[in-house]
Amino acid sequence: MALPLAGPHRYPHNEDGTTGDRGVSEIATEPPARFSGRTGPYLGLLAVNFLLNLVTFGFYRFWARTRLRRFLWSQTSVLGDALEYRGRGLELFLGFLLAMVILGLVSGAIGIVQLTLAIYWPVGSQAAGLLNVLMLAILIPFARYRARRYRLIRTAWRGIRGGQDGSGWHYALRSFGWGFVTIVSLGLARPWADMALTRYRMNHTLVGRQRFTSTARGGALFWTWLPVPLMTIAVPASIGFVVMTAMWGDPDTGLPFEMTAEALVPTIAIALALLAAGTVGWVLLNLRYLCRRWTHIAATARLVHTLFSARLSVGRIAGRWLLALFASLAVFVLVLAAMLATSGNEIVVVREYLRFAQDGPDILLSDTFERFAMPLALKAGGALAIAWLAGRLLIWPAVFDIWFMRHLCAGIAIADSAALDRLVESERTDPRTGEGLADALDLELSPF
Amino acid sequence: MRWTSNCRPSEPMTSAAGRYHDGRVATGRAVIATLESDGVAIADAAGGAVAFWSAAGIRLLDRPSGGRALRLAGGADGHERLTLDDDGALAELRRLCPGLKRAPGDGRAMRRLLLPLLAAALLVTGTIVFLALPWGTRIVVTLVPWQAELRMGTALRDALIAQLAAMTRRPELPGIVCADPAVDDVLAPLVARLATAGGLPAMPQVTVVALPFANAFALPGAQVLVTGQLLREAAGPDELAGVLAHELGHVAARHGLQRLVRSAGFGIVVGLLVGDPVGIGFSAAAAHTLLEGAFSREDELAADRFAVEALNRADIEGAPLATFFDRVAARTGAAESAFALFLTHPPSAERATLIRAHATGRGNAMPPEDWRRLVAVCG
Repeated sequence: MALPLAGPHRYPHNEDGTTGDRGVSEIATEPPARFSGRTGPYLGLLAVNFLLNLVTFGFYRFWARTRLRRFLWSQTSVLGDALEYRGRGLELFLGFLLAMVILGLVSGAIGIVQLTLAIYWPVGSQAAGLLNVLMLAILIPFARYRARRYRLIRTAWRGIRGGQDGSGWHYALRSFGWGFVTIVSLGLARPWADMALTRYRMNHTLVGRQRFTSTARGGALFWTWLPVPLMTIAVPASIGFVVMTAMWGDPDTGLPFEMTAEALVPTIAIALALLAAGTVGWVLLNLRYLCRRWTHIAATARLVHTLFSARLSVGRIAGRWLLALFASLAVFVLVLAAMLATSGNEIVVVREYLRFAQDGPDILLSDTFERFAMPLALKAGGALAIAWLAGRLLIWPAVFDIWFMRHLCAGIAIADSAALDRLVESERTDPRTGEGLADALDLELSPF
Repeated sequence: MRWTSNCRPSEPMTSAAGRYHDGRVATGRAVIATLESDGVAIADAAGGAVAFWSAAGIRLLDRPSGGRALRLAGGADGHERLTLDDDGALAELRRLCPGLKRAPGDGRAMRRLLLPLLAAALLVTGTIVFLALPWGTRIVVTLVPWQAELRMGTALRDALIAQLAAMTRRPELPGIVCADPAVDDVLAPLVARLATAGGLPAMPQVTVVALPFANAFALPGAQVLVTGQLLREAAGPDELAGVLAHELGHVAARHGLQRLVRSAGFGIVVGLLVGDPVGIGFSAAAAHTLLEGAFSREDELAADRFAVEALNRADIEGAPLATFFDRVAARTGAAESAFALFLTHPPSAERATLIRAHATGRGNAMPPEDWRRLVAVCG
């Protein structure tokens, strides 16, 4: 019986059935990593997850996340074989319950202490509030490290499980220390903090019995990072400058700071424009840093003898991101316009009130104003909610997500991957509950 | 999915090409999988046997490669993997094995943990939300001495008035407080009368402020604010007395302080439950509003009961207060019942009925000429 060795969607094989290449110079002609997920099933999955989350008041999120991960993992293939997600919603749910019990008791105790302090020793209660922040500053990185461990031990490739050793507490303490350094340095130390923690994570990442190593360095990323904290300072500084200029002393009234009625609207407009432009600029600069960071991490990572490299096109990613942003804004504007088209009366009245409010803002507290302003506010809120939903369930997934995954995988190159054929599975047995602390604190800010 | 024992392979033997991984080493092998009546035989290109998966342990995992491939798990420990590239194989398999469905695998150990953990979590959460928080709130509040709360109240009131005053720039009013002598001559004695009748431990201080909406509110520390608009819109002194008595009810039960204490505790518990500890999501806001609404509606009813008792003991008619709620009900009407669960006060019609049922006073709050003086305090 003739055996087809390479089908239409099969990674090219060597003659002995393996897929790895033999040396640094022989890199397979087909990209080693591939994302084959399609937009249609992805949108459907997001929609179903959203609806079920809605009717269960969020309790479905564990199974929703599991289904999403199963989809993403199974559509990501490395050297022709797809990743496998072995996690289960029930595991995440159990971990969450456990965390609820523990966290409930702990935060109950802390709450009582805090409230007692608030009454008898207000200064002390501020200090207790600080303790809360400290506790979170340690708990959050701990939970993220453990959550990453769960994702790794529930991921398999070619039948070999991932893994992560090292200690969540060690990681949390390092993260806390580096966080302190970052703050003290006004954000300039971030690349070193970032790479130090990345090295810890990578050096403790396993595939079967084999371990990743990372030689990532913060110094390599500093110049890419610098524009970001500079922008973070520049935007509020420029807004403050504009506001101060507009408020500069009025010689007639003799007051040092006075904002005249005519100056109010243009000043607010300029400030908002600066804020919008500054935010977009900040996001793009941050994006540039994240892309370089990913490239650097890949270039300095090794698994046994195998080397990696990764490329991301900042321009194309930024373009897609802006496209999705404008699409969302367009939806918002259209929905808002449609809703306000029926509110001619309210708009006229509210405009008049706002004009009078410049002399005495307390007029905005009156019942009459509320009666006209409330429907407008509700409509604006409704438009915002619809635009947000459309953005999260339709626009961003359709325009950005799938394309980005494809772009990310296409940019990965693997050299000397012969060793990847010989990875050996480890003998350990894994625990059966998910990393509940991270789930209870819902630190999975990305849905993956 | 489980192969059932009544899988019926057809002739010629159904087989498909794929890749096999044994779950111990990453090396994969190109194989041919053949469906037999009691399982799947996996053989290599030369026909040599590689593995045999018995039917009971085979599971469908997922559909990689954009849904065009099929991945199965099987083998003695369930860790072996078979990826079939022929997406027609699934239809064929389904046709031959009618009992095929996706089964996620052995969860027995986990399910044994589920009930106890669920019970424990519900117990802890329920205890915190419905027992510990209200009880703790009451205890904390009784521990706060009135002196402390009075000091807090004065500071709060001054801050609030300063803030509201900053929003007004009317040349005819130097500030926002209406300091007409009628406030001391007429309003203060009424408040004192109600406070004594209600048995308040401290004498409340009432301030009239010139604001364009009709309302009265009680701050912590026996401070009551009344707007000039309320004085103008009230149908009579007895109605005003009723509203004041209601606010004094909040003062007596120290609801302001309780709300402060309670909101601190709610936030994180509710956030954890719905998976939103920062509380920025819709679920957290909705859950928070629902819970806070329930407690606050109770507070309002308690204040109503205090008001009726105080009015009775001061021998002031209670019916005008009921008509006040009738007016509110007429104005807001259907909206109230639609949003009942989210509102911070009980339906106005219900409150009016409650008051009418228990009011026994017959007298008046003040003579008409005093009332006329009071209505004009804010110019």
